[in-house]
Amino acid sequence: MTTLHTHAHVRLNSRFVSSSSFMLDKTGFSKLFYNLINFIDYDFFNKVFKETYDEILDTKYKVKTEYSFSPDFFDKNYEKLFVITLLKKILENDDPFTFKNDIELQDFVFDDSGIIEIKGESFKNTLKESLQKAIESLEYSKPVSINLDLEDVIEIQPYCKLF
Amino acid sequence: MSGFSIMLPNYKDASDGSPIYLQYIIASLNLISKKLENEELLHSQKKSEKSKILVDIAGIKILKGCLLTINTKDINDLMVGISNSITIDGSLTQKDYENIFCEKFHKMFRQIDVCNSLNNTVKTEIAYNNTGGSTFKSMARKLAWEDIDRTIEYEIIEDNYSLNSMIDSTIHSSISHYLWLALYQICYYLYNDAKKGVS
Repeated sequence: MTTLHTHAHVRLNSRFVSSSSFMLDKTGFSKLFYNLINFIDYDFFNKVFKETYDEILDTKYKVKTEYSFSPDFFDKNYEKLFVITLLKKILENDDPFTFKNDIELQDFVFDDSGIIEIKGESFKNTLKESLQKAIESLEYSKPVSINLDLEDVIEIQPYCKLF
Repeated sequence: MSGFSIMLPNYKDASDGSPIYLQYIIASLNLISKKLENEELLHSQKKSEKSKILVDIAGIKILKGCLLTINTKDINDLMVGISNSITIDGSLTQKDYENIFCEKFHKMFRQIDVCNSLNNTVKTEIAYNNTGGSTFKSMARKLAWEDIDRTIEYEIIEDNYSLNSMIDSTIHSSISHYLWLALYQICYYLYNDAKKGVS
């Protein structure tokens, strides 16, 4: 598989939310994903990230008793499921964004007389549509894998349960 | 994938200033995204190609939405939200931040595109405009996909149109530093490029 290595550090409101080393095929999805979550409210993202993490962990370790955050957690069978689940949870929320006021956008198209102005969608709807396209894209794509390195594990520790 | 072609109308007068040029860019993005969303194009592809197209459509939507916010009146809350949403390394001052952005943005339009195009005419498009500007196609690609290595098979047929006036006016007057900062964050290419220690 042709892979694109993106070591992405994401900060929302000055705090680390997640840091992952992604191995994705060249759909450009990882960039889209990080572009999108940059607009998402920090607390909300934290919440759905943890929910997703717990759900997937529960799925994966149903037959195991161990609960550890190891580099092999996101293997190729679960990365896609994780990201799709996370995106769907974000999209289920009416207003997951970090900015309060929405904006009605005036769009522009060409016609015979040149550029004309038309009524566009709101900015939040535009982002939601992009989220939906991202989900559809992942559903079409082949499974991809995420490898978490040590640094990422440290950064993401708040999401781990301690025993 | 077989690709497609779009004939963009001429942009006749770059001296109109950035708002008009922005409208032209947005109208062009609409043409491209509509073409991508065309049922025949999207649904006749293999799954992997569909996946790419959907990502491209989503990228264009984000880019267009962000560009459209430039001309709206009530954008302060949005801009504050965007500006607060990402923090570059704490060691960087706002001045550093702006300098990085302006420099990179300038290069993105004027130098990188042209150089890459001339050095690798196979991978990237040829810069039709030889006045130091760039082409809409390469600009949109940088903004939307920020990926100079990625080969996008969509072909856009275009006539000459100069970006020089648009670049000058936007950098020096039309868009405030505040919006530059927001645009910086929107252009992920710049974000990644500015961050240290990112592999």
